[in-house]
Parts: sequence; C-alpha cells; structure tokens
Amino acid sequence: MNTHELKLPSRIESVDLAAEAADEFAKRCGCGEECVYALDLAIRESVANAVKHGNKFDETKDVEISFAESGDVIEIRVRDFGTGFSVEDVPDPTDPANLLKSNGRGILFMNSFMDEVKWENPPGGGLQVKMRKKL
Amino acid sequence: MGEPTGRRTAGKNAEKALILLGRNSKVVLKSAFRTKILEEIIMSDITITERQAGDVTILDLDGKVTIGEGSVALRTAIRRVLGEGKNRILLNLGGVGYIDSSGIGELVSSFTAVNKEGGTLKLLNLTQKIQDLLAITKLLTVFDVYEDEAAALASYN
Repeated sequence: MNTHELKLPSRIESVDLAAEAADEFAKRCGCGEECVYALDLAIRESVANAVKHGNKFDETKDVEISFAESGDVIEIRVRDFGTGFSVEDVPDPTDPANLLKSNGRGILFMNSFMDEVKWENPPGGGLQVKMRKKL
Repeated sequence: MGEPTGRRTAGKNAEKALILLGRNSKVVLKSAFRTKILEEIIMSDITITERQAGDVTILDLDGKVTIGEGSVALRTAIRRVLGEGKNRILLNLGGVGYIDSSGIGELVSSFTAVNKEGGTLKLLNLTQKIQDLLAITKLLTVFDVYEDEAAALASYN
C-alpha cells in the first residue's frame, strides 16, 4: 500500500501545495492524465473548503491530508478542525436561483470528478471528507 | 513638451494596478500612443493582456484561474476595464489551462459586474476542460460563448 500524509496551515497557499502533492502521488501511482486532473481538482476544492469554511483561515488549525493507493483505488482524506457544517445544507449551485452566485460549486466538482465522496464528523471535532477514485 | 496624455493615463493605471495587485506582480505598459492603450497584468499564475477591437475590450487570459492570484487578477482586470468606462468585454480563455470553482465563480462575478454597468461580457475559446465545468455547473446556459473571435466581435453589433 502506497501512502503519503501531510499537514498544512490554513492559508490559500496550502491549496497549491496540496495539489502539487496530489499530482506527485497520482503520477507515482501510475494515474493517467484524466485521473491526475480529477484528483488535482478534488484536492484543490476540498482543501480550499477546509481552509475557508472549516478552519476559517485560523492558522493555529491545520488541514490534515492523506493519500493512499490500494489495488486500483486512490483514496484522499482531507480534514479540518472547524465547527463543521452539514453538506446537505449547501444550496444546489445548478438550481436556476443559484446560478449567478459566485461560490458554492466546489462540492459539485468533487462529486462530479471522484467516484465516491463521503463526509464524516471525526472524533475530536472538525469535518473530514474521504474521496475515492479508481485508477 | 510633456508626455503624451495617453501614456500618462496608462502610467497611472499601471501604478493603480500595482497597488491593487501587490508587489509580487507587475503591470507592463505595452503601448500607449497612437494605438489604444494595451496593458498586461502579469502574476505568477496568470497573464492578462488587454486589447481593443472597436468598442469591445478583449482580455486574453493565459495561465491558471484558481483560488488566490488567478481569481484576484481577473477581478482586478475587470474592475479596471469597467472603471475606464469600457463595458463591452470579451474574455479570451484559450490560454487558460486550468480553472477551479473559485475561477468559475470569478467568471460569474465578472458577468454580473459587467451587467450591472449596463454592459455585456462574453466568452471566447473555451478549452474542453472549461467547457466541461461550465456544463456541469449549467453555466453554459448563462454565458454567450464563441469559438471564433470575428464572430464574437460581430455579435456585439
């Protein structure tokens, strides 16, 4: 099993760092171009959510990220230490009433490009998203 | 004899953009006399070049429009162009290799900002990736999209 873990501060710059780590991990696992793009987009959106909406830019709180490859699946886990939120409460960005909103599309992209997306409230607080992509 | 007025104005615009964008960016004054003022906003992730075709302002984007610098650069460019009274804007996205939800959100914000000024913002040369993201978000129903610059410019008439 191939794994990689990292902790990043709650800053926008961490989004690029996480994406670079995801790209490197995906290529090491033999991901094709389409798979690399999907993982890159999913990690960017999930880390941006963790920094902005989870930890609310509080740099005393880290964003924990792990990548794991097992068989023909890559799993990414992203955890923040914020107060959490209900994913079901996020408005549907494709609803005509929300089309001209400037945000709220990240979760849609994660769901669209990954094969499985699960949200959890882990012990110790915060919100964790686990995403799986078949190679 | 003093500097041509156009050059002075462009220089002021460049100074303003530098203040808005911060010290890690630079605005290159391309030409300010005889032709329309052309400027480039250059940041590590993206370069935005402004061209003028009649009363349509074309912004050529080259790079990534992602959370942080890319989105800020686009917002700054749109505000600057609107501030100069230009409200017919064509965004050429042919050079945009990557965009995330923040970048898509910035396209939407640009669209609404231009509309509020009574203008029109249209999109040119979408890459397949951007087209896919606009389809997923159903924003292809919002934006007027063109593959050919001449056809896009003609559509403003």
